[in-house]
Amino acid sequence: MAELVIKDAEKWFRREDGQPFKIIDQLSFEAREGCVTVLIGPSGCGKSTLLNSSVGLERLDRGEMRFVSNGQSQQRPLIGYVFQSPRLLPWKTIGENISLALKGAGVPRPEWDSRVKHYLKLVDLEEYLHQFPLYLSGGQRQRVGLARALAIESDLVLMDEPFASVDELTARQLRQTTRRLCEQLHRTVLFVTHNLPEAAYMSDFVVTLSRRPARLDSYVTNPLSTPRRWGPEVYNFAAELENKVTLKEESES
Amino acid sequence: MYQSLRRVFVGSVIAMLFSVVVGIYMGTVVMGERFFQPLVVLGLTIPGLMWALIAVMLFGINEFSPYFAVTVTIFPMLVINIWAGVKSLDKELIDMSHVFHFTKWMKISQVILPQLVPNIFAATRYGLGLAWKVVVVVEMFGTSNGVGYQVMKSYQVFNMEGVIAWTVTFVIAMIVIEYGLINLAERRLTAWRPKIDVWRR
Repeated sequence: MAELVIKDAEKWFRREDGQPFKIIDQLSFEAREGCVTVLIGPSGCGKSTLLNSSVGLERLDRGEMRFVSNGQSQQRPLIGYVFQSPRLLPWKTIGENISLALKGAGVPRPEWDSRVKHYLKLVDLEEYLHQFPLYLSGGQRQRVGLARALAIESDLVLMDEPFASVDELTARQLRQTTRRLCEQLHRTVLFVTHNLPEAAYMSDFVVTLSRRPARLDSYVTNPLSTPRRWGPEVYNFAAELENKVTLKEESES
Repeated sequence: MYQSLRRVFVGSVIAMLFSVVVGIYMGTVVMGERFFQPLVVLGLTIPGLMWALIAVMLFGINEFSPYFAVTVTIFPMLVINIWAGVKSLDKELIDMSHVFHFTKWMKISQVILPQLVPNIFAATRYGLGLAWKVVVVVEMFGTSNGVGYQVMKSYQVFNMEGVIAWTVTFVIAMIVIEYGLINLAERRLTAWRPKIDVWRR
């Protein structure tokens, strides 16, 4: 098991005219072991930047980001990532796409087949093993992305608005699948979204961020029971979250 | 005919290998781009005929001359294509490969090169056409066999049938290579793409 500890994170970008602007300011929180921590905040407040920093695609200007696994800090741990778009290699079959992630993760070759089949079965796509991604629907491709992130069996999984590009019905199915897998597999998940009902349904903890530069607004424990079900209580909690964000914004203005 | 084919093939393969390496280097490393860009542009301005002459004058009448002439003639044009392809690579896929700890070789072979396939095929088609022309010129005055040599021999005795027969043979060889080899390889390497029917009703 692993947790992600973010402490006093700061990130600056430069505008086209060269003027620097701060996107993340003194942000500290942790994604707890075996739980789903959902990060919500206004558009452009640096949520994706934060995820990208944790996998080395960006670098924080100040502060630290620690991965603690079994009590020990790790430098560049293996992290599963579900992107906003599936980012599958279109010239590789579904099975090959997942196998390549396994190869990158250093999983021994004899294990690839069984692991690929196992995780494709978890997302109900085992019959698409030999298909190319472009022959699948958007929702199916996103499920392959989810299977790939889970198949490497990393302790930490990051999800960056993974269902934002699919229709609501498909997104609801994907949320249910993902939440079920998170509960079953006990992975530490950091999940970014704009969608409040999604945050309410997916989370064990919710971190709300302010407008740019992102600061920690609140850290909320999800009161809903597990296994999670999509019902009125999800919308009630979403309304609570909305109040938190809106009240904070009003008091700021 | 066989000798000409071999010269075209060997010269093109050498040029292709160099151009893939240099094209990727130019597209990914700023210093590489700064260093090679003027050389490539310069190379593009020198006609193949000049290289054919220079090769024969430098290396004499031997097998190395056509290889050299073909390689240096088509190399800049191949590089330009591959360099342009690298510049338009899908950054999201490269980021994905970084996140999932792909090794450098995995990134090149599984993520970068497959994206360059259309550029490589476009370059190969154009490059082969050019390579044939250069080989024929070199063979006309720098070898004692090959299509160019045969055409020259026919021309010297004013044998029009001979010139036309060799030209037709040459065209047939090109068609066989295009449809029997390049098209087949391209179809195989792009089988993952769903067929597009633009005029579907």
